Amino acid sequence: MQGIADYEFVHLLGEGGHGSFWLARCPARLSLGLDYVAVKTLAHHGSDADFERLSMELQHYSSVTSPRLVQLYEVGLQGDILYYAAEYFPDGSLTQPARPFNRASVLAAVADAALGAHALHEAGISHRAIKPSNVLIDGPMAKLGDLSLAQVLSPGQTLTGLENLGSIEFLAPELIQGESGSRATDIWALGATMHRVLTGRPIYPSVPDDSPLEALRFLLSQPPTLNDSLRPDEHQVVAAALATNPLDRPPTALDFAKMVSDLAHYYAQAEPL
Amino acid sequence: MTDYDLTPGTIHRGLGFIARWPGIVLVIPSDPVHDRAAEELLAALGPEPAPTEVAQVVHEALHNGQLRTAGYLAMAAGGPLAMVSGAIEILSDGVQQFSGTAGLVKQQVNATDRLTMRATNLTKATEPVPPYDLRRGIAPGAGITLGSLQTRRDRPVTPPRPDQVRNEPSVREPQPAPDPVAVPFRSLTLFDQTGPVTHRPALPVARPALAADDVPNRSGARDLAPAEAPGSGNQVAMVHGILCSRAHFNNPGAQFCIACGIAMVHVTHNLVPGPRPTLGMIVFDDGSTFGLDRSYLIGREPHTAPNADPAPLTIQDNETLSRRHAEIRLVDWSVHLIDLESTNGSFIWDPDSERWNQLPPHQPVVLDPGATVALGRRTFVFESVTQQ
Repeated sequence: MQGIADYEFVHLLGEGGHGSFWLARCPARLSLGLDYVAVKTLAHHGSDADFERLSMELQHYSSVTSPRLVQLYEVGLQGDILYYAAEYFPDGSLTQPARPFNRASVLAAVADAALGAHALHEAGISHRAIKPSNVLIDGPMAKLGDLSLAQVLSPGQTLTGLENLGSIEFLAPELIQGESGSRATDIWALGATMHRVLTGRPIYPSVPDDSPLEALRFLLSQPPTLNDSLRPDEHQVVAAALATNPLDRPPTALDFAKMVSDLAHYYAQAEPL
Repeated sequence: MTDYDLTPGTIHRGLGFIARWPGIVLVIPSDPVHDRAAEELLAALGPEPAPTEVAQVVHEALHNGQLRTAGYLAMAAGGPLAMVSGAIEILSDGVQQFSGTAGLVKQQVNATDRLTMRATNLTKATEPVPPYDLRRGIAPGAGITLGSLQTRRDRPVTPPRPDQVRNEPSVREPQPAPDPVAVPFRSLTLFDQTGPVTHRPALPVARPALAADDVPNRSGARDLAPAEAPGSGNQVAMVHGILCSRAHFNNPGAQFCIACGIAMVHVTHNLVPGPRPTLGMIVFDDGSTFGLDRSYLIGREPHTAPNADPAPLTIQDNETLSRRHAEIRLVDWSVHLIDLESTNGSFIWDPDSERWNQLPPHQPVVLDPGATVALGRRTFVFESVTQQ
């Protein structure tokens, strides 16, 4: 694609099961005074009714004021392509930060994402797509971006397809089984994110990829395997968030954020930059 | 420059077909539904088709929707020309160059050691498998690596930093994107909200179920699940069930509690009302999964409001599905499938006779857990934890 609406695309930032992210020049029409924005184009073929629903959902998201949530600028529909424009983060995400990150800053970023999630929960929204690539680096802080819109466009859908098997570890087992998003499912995703960024490994070491059904059956029959490279106090926090029973996880994302930021502070003192 | 027409071709295991003929390599990762289309296409091409013929047939199949995902590497003077469409990607020396996820991409590629074309859903199990070396002909697999896996394999490949990644200009077919400004669009700003914003209550904080000793009247189940279906304004249906000794709400036929796994043999089977839990999920052949916390109207264009009952479940399929093909209807604790007089029919696989049994239109049939259902050329499996 070369652009959408009056956004001119510079290059592709990434692709996911639901759509593509582009670096785009910010149209003067918006009077934002920004050079660049990130534009997401959704793979779902959109109608006017989809646009209305998406707008309502994103307006509600935008009404949540938290410094730990990515700012959205606009939602639109051109032809049958739905898109939205959001803040662009040149420093990248926790998947591929553009500058080196020590353990304390990684943990601080996970804690920031948890605070963003908590703000959403308090406003009645479950994020449903927390993973390292959605934790965006903004100077000394991190922000949570790109909430899942699958429920808005395709109600009841828990997995969009095989492409998602790579990020299936971030889906709580009860979410895979068809339950709805909750505080507890986002807390699972935060735990899996923390595990992934600290160890570089997935929590399910070998998911069969021959058929989606086999993969799902495998996941639902296996508890996650935590990597040995986690330090004992990190292991404890991750294991709590990844408890199979949602009731055994920290009750709120704020509780989880406190546990993680305690670790981050501890490391920051122990290992100064 | 490596002549990728002569190098070894190491297969990546997985579902699909790989074909290699002089001048061209073709990969069609299969979802099971499109197998037949891929088979037909390969059969029609004959034993050793010309590269141009292969390219033409593949483009036609993608264009008319016969195939959703396919890629080829055609050998050309300036280096191989790659075409990918759908969930398939091209890697040079193990580094991803581009994929067809966002639409068809066609451009020249090169590599020092090896070129890979593979389905993007590959994980550990489908790294290239050295004994399988395809030089000519057709083989099963979901990807192929041309070139040496061995010689310079140990040399670390540094992926480019994100800020260095630039997409090469790519040729998109069948038509380049329209002039962005020429096509009208509608939009809504989100940063300066002036209109009224809807208020929603905070998500509930999960609390443990009451311990057995604390259950005064054994009807605590009503508090244990949200009273509203997610994303919809609909009340969740109330059903009658039994409580395990820890007061979890279960299917009256359950032998073990779905929440805690405790055996149900000793509980008194008094029926109590409670909100119906999710009855399982349906998993389609392409991996898309839907939770059975609501009824669904399945079709190409079901056209109902998203919070309607049944909710729309849109399957994008090329004409083998009717607009409104079938309904999944939750009735108490069971899941019913109803064919809506679809053109190509709805079928349930009978493992005993190894046959597809067609559903008579408009007659509900109860789905047992594990049932495989075909709607047109699409299939799904009903998985359930609440009903064993």
